[in-house]
Amino acid sequence: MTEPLLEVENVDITYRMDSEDVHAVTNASFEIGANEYFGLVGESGCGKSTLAKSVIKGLDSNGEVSAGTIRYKGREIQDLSEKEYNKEIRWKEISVIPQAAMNSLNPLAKLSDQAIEIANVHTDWSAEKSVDRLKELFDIVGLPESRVTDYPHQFSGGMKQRAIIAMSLLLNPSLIIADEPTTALDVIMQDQFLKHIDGLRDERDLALLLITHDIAVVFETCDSMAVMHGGQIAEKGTTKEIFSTPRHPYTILLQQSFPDARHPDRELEVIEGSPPALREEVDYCTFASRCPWAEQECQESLPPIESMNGNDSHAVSCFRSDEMESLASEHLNTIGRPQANAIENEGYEDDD
Amino acid sequence: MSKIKYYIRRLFVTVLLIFGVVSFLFIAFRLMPGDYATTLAGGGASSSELEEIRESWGLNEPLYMQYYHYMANMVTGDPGTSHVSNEPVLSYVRAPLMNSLILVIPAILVAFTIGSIYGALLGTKSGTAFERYGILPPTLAGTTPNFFIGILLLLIFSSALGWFPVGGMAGYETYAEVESHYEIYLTTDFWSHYVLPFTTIVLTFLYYPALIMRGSVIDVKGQEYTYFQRIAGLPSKTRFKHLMKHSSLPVITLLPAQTATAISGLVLIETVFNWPGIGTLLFDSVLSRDTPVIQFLFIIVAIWIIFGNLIVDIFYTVIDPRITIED
Amino acid sequence: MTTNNETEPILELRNVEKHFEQSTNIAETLRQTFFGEGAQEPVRAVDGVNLELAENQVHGIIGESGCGKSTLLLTLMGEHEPTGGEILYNGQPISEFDKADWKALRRKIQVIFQDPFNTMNPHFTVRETLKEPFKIHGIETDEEELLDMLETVRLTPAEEYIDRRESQLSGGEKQRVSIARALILEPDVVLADEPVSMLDVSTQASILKLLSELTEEYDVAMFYVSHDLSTVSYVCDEVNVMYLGRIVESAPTRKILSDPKHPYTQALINAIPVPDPFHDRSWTELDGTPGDPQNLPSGCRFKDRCPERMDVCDQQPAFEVHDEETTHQVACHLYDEQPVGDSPIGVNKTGVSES
Repeated sequence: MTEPLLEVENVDITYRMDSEDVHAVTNASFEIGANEYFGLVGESGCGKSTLAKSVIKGLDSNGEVSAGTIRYKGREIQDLSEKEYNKEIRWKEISVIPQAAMNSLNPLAKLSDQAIEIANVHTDWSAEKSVDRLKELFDIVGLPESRVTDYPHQFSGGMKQRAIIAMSLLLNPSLIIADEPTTALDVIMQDQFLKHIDGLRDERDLALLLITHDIAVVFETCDSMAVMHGGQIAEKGTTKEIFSTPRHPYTILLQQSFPDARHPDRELEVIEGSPPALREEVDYCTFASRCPWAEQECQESLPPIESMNGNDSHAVSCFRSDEMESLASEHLNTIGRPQANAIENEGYEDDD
Repeated sequence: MSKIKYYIRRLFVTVLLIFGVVSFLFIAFRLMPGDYATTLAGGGASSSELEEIRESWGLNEPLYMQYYHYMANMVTGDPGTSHVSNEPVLSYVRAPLMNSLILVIPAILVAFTIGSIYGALLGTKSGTAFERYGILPPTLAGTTPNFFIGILLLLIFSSALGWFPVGGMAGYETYAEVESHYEIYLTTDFWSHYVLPFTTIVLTFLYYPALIMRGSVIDVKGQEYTYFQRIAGLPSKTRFKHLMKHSSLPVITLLPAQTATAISGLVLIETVFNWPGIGTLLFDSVLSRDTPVIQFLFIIVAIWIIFGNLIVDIFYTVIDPRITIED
Repeated sequence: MTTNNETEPILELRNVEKHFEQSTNIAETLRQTFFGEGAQEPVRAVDGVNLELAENQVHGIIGESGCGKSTLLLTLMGEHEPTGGEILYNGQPISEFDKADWKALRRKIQVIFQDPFNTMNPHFTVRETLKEPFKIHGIETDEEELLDMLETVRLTPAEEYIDRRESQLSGGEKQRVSIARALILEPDVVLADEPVSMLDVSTQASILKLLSELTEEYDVAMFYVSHDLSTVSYVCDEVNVMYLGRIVESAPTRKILSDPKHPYTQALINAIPVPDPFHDRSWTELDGTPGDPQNLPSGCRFKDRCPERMDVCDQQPAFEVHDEETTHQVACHLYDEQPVGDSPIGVNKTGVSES
């Protein structure tokens, strides 16, 4: 196997608050290969954005990677100084599509000037070269080249989004981190956005780290994924593995809590309770308090993340993962709905 | 529509507005209680004197003719004669006007500069104790009546410490030395008289720019694009520059209105400091019912506000691309 | 719209319009006077909407942002006065209501807002939030009633929740408080404005389930406004799809999801991500955003984005019953050939071209 592009290994992230620390992320590990689209899913507050920000050195000043390593192309980056990171990694290697893509452009400056400004920081390009490059990218994301000198307000919402995609591609990065890029959008705008992101696969060598609470978006857009709960990675694997054979109770319930337009009559699962506040050191499974199958052990120690059936990509952090298949099917049967496996085996009929 | 066309149109509207205000003042002064001739003559004039005044001022003519003469005089730059000094209003008002402007314009500009910088400082430190309590001093200064601040400064720095003169614009000796009025501005005596009224105005007008800049900086700082600029690696100096440009927009809007407020507030400050400016002049003119002078001072203030807004509008189209000029 | 003979609608909208005149200031007026420019076109946010809400019914109003659904909701709340048409409450036109009637109406129509994070006064405890509606309407209340309500919206143990403040509640819990607040005066109608769109999808399910159960239990009717068709099946009996001020399709929920007629409805449904990596959904064909409600095209307002555009689309399509057995109505020329001659009473077949 070739060397992964990004390796996050046993990372802890702590925020120092006035009175106590918050352990936002505990022992998180995942890898993204070159050209891989990777989804990081979980509820708000599960630590997924924090984890992503640690990769781009965007943590708030009171947050830090307190343990573990983050490697990009084999090189440790978590301890790089801001200056080194800016010079070597930021935007040239890893760039960002922020959450509120539509509001992320400076309203008082032309798009071309904003591109020049970013290029100036990280490269020795001439202004002309930066603008030419932006024009190229406008073409790729489906915006007329002539409009690079427009101001953001002259663009519609969807166009602004595409302009932000172009900005993030400006210095030809190998990895883009998209942090809840579609959360505030209507379905059609969301779909237009995802269409462009998906289209980039054919255009260039690009990996994507997509952060979202919407498991459906990940299932559709990504090759691999990780599910996070309460600062821990509950389960990771290819999207097909996670969909077909989920082995963490949270993944199973989360998946079942999503509406599927093809089956409007299906009951939706409700996950009761909320994750713990993470004030003390996390040495237990953070899902235990909400888990229908939790045992004493789950409250007392942190389950290790283990590969499933010798499978390299699929790994689960649950003491009872081996029993989960039967436990879950029992549960899903009692609430009267088909389980994911069964559906998959039957094979779907596509609506369109 | 091109910007030029917009400016021309905007200028046209400005001229119309000034025309309207000047006409309004004509009507307002005619509507004031009492016969206009009596108003002009001041108290205790005999009926023959009044008739004489009516004749010489053209008050026997029909109102529209009076209005025509009034407007014609204004347009040709002749606002009449002060009947207190019998001097043409223009030359009568010139020196006090200069005295006032030299005091108020720099003071307002300094107040806005210091206020904006201070407000920006508060805004960038939002969430800290400095931000929470730092707005108190300018608030206190801004909400205290300006004459009170003036008296306080006089008590401390003139009466108690004796650092600055008590009032006036210059001592008698200085007046005696200079050949023309404007030479006073070049003497050190003038500037030592200048410090306290200047400080009073600065203190009074710090408050609004500081408050608005603070809010504006907090607002802009919270906008998503500032996060994007940070994550894209723009150096903090560049980001600060963008932040300041964007945040200062509402403060700029405030400037002409605040200057007008300052000019109207001059009456009190100039009285406290015995400053021979248009505030004092207006006060005296109202007491002596010197209508042509009052009328002219009103017109000047109105024109200042109208032109100030024109300048701000034009400035906006340059600095803020979102201000679109509609077809 | 076809009339429902069994029960009188509790809330009825007849051709409701809400147009916003462009603001005119002095400079604008002078400009118009001296440069001979006409007034600007009004923004036609809501443009002739007919809806009927029967007792205990839940109707969805679905469309993208800018389609007028929020304006429609504000009009129903009495925040905007309609510029045309009539809203009837229990058969009474509300334009004739006096102050006392309005007060009574405000008690009978309650609202659940989109953003649970801004609707609660941050200084209020849950108790104070729930007591407020009683205070407004001068009604006595006791602790017992408040606790019961919290139990009803599954905030248990209620004793523990009642003293919490906004900052001590999660998004889902806040929305439960909003629901409790809306239902506590036992209204006839609830207007829900995107009540789950700010929540995680996994939390949405529980809130929708709750809403659906409570509308049954409390016998209330509801307008459910949203941009998302994926969850309507859990709450709505009927769905109305709105585009640029007009209803373009309306049908029972199951029907509209399984057999959408209008190309816009089809696009809305097709754009919903499917939680299944084996399913190969095609991306949306629609470009851009809904147009500007100030410069509306004549005829069908969707024509410029429509993949099925025809010449006839320059004429306004009638809003017609498409399918005789059901109340499936659609405003689209694609279905012009369908026999509508024998259609039920009260179908508006006129209004072809736009003035």
